[in-house]
Amino acid sequence: MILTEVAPVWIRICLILVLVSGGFLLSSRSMSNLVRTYQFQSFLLVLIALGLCILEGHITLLLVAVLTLVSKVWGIPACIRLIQERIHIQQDLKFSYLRPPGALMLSILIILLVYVCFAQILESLYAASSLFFLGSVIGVSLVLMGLLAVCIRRMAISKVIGYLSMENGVLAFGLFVTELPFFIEFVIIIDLIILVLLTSIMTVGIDSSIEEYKTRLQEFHLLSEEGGIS
Amino acid sequence: MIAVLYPVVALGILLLQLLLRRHRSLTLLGVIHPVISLIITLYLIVSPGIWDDSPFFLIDHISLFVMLITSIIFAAAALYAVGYIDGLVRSGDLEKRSLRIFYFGFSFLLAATTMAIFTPNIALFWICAELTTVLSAVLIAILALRATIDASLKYIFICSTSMLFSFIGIIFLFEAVRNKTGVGSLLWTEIVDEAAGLDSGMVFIAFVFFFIGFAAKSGIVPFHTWLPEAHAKAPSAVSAVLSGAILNIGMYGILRMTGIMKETGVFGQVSVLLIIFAMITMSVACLSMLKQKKLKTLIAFSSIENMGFIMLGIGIGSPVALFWALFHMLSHSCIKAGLFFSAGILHRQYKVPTRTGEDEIGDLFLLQPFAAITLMAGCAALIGMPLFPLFLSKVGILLAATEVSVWIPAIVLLLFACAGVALIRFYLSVMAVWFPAGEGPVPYKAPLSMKFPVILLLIISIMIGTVMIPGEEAFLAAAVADLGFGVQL
Repeated sequence: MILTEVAPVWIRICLILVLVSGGFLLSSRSMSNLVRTYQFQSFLLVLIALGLCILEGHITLLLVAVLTLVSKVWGIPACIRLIQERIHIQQDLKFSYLRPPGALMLSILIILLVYVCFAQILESLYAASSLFFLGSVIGVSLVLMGLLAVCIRRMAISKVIGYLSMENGVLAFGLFVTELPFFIEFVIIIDLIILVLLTSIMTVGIDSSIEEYKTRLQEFHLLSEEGGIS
Repeated sequence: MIAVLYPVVALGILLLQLLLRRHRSLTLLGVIHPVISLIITLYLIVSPGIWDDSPFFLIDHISLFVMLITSIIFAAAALYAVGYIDGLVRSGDLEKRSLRIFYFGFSFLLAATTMAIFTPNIALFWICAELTTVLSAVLIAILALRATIDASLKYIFICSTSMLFSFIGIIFLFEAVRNKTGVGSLLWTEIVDEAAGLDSGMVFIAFVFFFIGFAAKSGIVPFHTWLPEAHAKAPSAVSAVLSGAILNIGMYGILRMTGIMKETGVFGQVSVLLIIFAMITMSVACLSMLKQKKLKTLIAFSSIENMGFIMLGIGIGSPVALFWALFHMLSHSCIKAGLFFSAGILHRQYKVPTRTGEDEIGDLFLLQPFAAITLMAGCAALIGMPLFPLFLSKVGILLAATEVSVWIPAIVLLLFACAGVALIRFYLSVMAVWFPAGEGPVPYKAPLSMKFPVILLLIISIMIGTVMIPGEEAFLAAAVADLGFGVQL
């Protein structure tokens, strides 16, 4: 009973923290911090899914929470850390178009703009379900902040984290539509894993020179000596 | 349930590609897959009685039409790849160990494209479209050069990030249906049925987000920046598939979504949005074509221009415009794939672009008369010369556009003139280059498997440009009716 009353507040706090983590992803220069922030952001999604599960009683949300915990809090960060260790990149100091302070200012503007636009267009929705409205505003804002990270970061591996943050925004929004079939979340994660794997292979190449590329593939056992991607 | 053969055949081919090791076997499987897909599609087209209400496949005129284009392009590209890929392996441009990845990726791409076309579920459509991006990226990067990896990464980042917006659009659409009926739906047909009373604000937001992703997939400005690089850097067989089949997947999504919007109260706004983006796309593409000095990049910008033109037809939204937009899709795919094949022959001859980054093409008619003639025919077709099908679709859409505003055809004609000038200027400049005696390269003898698809696509183009194949008009009209525009003949 108490949990049902606490859940909406809990969800709102988590949603705000999700936005804060989006800000960290824009400004952090340390690679390990970037991965840790992404991990924290994903964990917040797990908490939101649990909160919604308590509130609405849909078992699908519990499954989504478990799946997010396994894939986004544990699996994908571990995969990125592995690549990070192998390519010996500790910091991402290069930015295009905007430096972190400018990007943070722009992201605040984005959040305000999304709120104002959605409040005007989805007026009826706001009255019917304020939690869904908040989810949609924060989800879309996070997607746009992730996009900003993809645009301003120069290294492919940081861009991947920006993309993953965008995907978290979609999931944050999707969680509020509980009837959305579970298999969709499941296939999104499969799709994500494929994307991360593929981009990881390419990251090895793009963050090194041409001569180093094939050597690196062999060094990281992505390419076997006698032939074929292993 | 004949459509079930698509995934069954694809699965069989993919398994065999994993098991077999010989180059010839892989090549053969690569050809068999699209040819069987083409046969199944043709069989389905001539047997409308067997389009059952299977919950797993959405078989109607529009999906079969797009599948027909896809099968033709994949079959032609697979045939072309027999000689082209073999040449790349012999010259050391492609490592032998990458062959399996290439053919597996090629077949998987066809399977994902097929599923995207036939899936009745909008979210599954999104997933399959995403898969086509990942698989296309693998094929673009197959030569493992820094330039190809760079182009591939750019493609993945732009398309995948844009596609995430599409998923938000799908969530909004689902929620809009749920608000009306109490139960959300992701099925194309159910959404169309319920479209009439949906909340207009939410539906418009859904369309805008959906549009961002699929516009990026079709190379619509300003999401087009990946396209010239990806199409130019990829091996020619892949460029042809990307331009002739994969761009259509984005357009197919926009077409279906516009069909839903037709039933809502926001079709007017959607129409304006599509026309504005179409005009911007065509302007950017045609003006960019003027300064291109590389053949494949020029052809790639022409693809952007044509996607913009197809979208103009969709935006106009009249049955006639939609009819010619679909016709344009078929014609453009055949012509563009043929052009990329001819460019591939020139690539093997001159190893363009060279280290200087420029195309150094010379003695064209002397060294490569076949590629020179087909390139000329392709350029003439792109310009929209009579006898070629783009002439008909250009006239058709421009006439339909006059109903919206006379300024649209006026501006578009001017842009077509720019594109025409760019193509003619490039061709003439290439023709005028002669190497000093004894300094030219040794003629490259293109195998028949590289020439045959070019001839085949040229014949198809001229055929659909000069005669109406029996049933073609009725089929296209029915496809337009399937989308909710016009009445079936």
